[in-house]
Amino acid sequence: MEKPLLEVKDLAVNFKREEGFFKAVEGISFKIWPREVVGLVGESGSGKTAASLSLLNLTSSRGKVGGEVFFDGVNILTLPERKLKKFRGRQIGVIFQEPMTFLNPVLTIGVQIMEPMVEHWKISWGQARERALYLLSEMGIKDSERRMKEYPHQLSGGIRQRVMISMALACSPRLLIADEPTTALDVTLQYQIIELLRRIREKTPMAILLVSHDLEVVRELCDRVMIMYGGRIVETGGIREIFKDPLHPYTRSLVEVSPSFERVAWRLPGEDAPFSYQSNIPAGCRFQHRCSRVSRECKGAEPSLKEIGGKGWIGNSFSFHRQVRCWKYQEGALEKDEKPL
Amino acid sequence: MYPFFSRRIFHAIIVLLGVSLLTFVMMNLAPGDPYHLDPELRFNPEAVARWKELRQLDQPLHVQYFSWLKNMLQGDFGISLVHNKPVWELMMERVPATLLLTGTSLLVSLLISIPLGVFSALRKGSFWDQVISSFTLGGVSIPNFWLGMLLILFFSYHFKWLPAAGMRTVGMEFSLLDYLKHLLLPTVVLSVASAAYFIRYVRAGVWEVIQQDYIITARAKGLGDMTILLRHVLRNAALPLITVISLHLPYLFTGAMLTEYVFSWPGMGRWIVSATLSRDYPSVMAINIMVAFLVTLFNLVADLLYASFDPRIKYR
Amino acid sequence: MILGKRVQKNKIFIFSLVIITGLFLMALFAPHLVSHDPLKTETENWLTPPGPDNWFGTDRLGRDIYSRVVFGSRISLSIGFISAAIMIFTGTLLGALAGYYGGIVDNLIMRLTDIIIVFPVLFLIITLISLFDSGFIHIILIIGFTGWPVVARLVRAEFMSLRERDFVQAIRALGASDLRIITRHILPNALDPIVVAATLSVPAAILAEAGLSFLGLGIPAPVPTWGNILREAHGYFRQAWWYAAFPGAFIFVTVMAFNLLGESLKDLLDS
Repeated sequence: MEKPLLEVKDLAVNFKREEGFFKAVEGISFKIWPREVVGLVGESGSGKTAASLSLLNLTSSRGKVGGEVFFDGVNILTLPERKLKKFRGRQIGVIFQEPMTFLNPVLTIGVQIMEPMVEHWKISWGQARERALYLLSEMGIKDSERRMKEYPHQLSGGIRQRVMISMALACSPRLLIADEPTTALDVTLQYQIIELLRRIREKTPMAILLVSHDLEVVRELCDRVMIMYGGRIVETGGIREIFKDPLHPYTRSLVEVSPSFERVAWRLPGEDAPFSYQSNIPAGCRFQHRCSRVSRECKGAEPSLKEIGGKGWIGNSFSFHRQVRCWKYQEGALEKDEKPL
Repeated sequence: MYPFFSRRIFHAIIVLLGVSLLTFVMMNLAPGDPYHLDPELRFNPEAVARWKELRQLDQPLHVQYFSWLKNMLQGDFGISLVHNKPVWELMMERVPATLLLTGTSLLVSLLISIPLGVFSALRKGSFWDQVISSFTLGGVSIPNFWLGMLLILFFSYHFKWLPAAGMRTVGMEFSLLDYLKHLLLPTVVLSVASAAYFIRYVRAGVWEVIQQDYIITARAKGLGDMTILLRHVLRNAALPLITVISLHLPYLFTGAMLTEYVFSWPGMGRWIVSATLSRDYPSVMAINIMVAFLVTLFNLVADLLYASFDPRIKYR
Repeated sequence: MILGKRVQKNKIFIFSLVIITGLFLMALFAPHLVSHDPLKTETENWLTPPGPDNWFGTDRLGRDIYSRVVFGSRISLSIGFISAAIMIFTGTLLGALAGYYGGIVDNLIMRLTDIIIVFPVLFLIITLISLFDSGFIHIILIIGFTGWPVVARLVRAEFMSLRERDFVQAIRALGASDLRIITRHILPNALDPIVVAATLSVPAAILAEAGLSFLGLGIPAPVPTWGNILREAHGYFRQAWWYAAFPGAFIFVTVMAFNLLGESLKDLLDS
């Protein structure tokens, strides 16, 4: 059996701020297998972006990352910065959510696409150029020759995001982290970018971690999904299971209000996670304030992430467990069964 | 891009016209008429009238202004009341000295401030950042003429290493070393304030750039620290610095005036002081016009540089 | 209240305020602090090094430098404050008009600002002094009326952004007069940067006066000002280091204290 490409153990991200210690991510663990597409879903403030950036230790200097991240068996978080750089961009590519601010305004997009290749592969700019042109045309950009010489502000939002994707794919990474790749775009462009990601997914052997608040985007692209709430993973499972039979009340609320596929631009209900600082974190379940079936048990102790049922399979080689972090998940399941189909 | 350029050039011309008008008004506010100084003219109304006619002083003010402007454009700034020489000649003797001093200082202060400012921003809050910040506070607060006196006291009088005054040793043949020795102290004195001022801007600018999202992108690509610094950070931070330098120029000239005075540097700064003390109005006004012209010219160049470096501005 | 807490936390703010208060008291009680008449010459005692009788030594005419420095603080501080007040008043007025009305008013005021700003400040001041004579009042006015353009630009930028804000639009829709909108609604919101600019204008004015006096174009001798003492010292400091060291150090410390105050104030108001 193959080894997991990425194995995250007990990942934690803390930000030091004036107001106190901000725990963005607390003790999350998961694996990503080669060629697998995994969704990481949560609303803003759930810690999903911090979690994905911390995999490469890319959080700002105020952010402290704890836990272990094994990439291909190497614990990359313990590596010195110099060696970690060899993973960034080369083994793991990142797509950011806002192409306007994440692209350098004073460099041509050509330079920005070519530079990781020049850096990692030690090839000439001329050679890198060949591949950059190829990548841009693969992304469906016409007259890529001209585009290479343009600056980010001259491009439309859709093209910018395609540029961003070409940049992340430049060195053919084995894992792609896509942080809200469609959020900043309008609906039709979102659809195009999703299609593009789907094509990339089919054409390349790369694994993808798709970070999104949008369950529909995740449903379109992912094999498996992890739901985050308040810095914790609250439920994981295969994409079909999650939609058919959500166990955590939070997941259920997401799935129930989830619109049909045409309305991709839909957003999660409710407000941001109500607690951000250590002192504000409630005893017991973190979802209790927004949960409809909260009981005394939920206010006592925080539930652990329990494994439910048997193993799920993706293809024939990767297995995973269904997990949920809730005291009452069985009640939810019962109620679901009672509903007429 | 061209509309931007032509608008900037037009703007510079307006400013220069304003400068000349303001100078002209000041000159006419001068108490007494210049001919009062000439004993032969003072009691001879006929001669005064002829004198005035000769210099078109009997004409209405706007006519006077335009003919004065016309003369100036041809390099005729009038005759110095003290030296009895064309102001233009006096100016040509002194402008190079001032430009040498200010130019060297600008260069030196940039060479000091860019690395220190970058270092400070990257290590914000560290011990060395605080040391540098204290230096910049001292640098912007110290009166440079006092600093000059202290340096002369130490390096010229006490240790006798460096000359205290002038641009070269009088009576000596040309020697580059001699020039450099004379240049060293004034340059240090004039550079301190500018360097301190630039360090603050470089530090703030670099700090702001490294907070930007695109720096995360650059890091996510696995680029080396030097590549990120040179290609991504400095390119963005350098642009506002161009503006900062051009806004700083008037202060550089003010500093140069005091420095020149302390070190007896034969430039415009010393000249305007002696011209003011002796009420040599044509010289004072010519120096003002010249300095304002230089500053406007540098500002224009800075703006055009900015525009050609920043890809965003061309399309505005 | 919040500001109060931050002020307590900000030691630099307190520190600079203490120095400035000290300088103020020195200027105020100058006659009680000195042992010698700052103008009294004792030529037989000229250029005496610092000692128990003359703490900062004596000058070329045997005058007590300590007494002269103490009295000099009166001139420096009053010029610093009054000139800064003129700068802030003129700059705020013109900047407010330009920023609030925009259009031709803005254009006129800003072109005037552009024109004045390309003159190095001291050059302009010197030129005006050559026309109007130097004297205490003249110098205050000239420094004040040449230093406003920086303030005007700053205030204009503030006004331009505040003018477009919803609350101003709403008040205007209610029919408030321009004067009322400017003074009651926009100005209070633009006060923070103006206060900082005011604090930083004081050292600029003090340095300008010191520079002028040093060049011999400031307050005429024998009035003791820090710049005047430095001017006299320029010919003698080879023999008498104390002649220049003390007045210069006082300028340095005063200017630094105001710069520190301005910067810590900026930090306090920004956060």
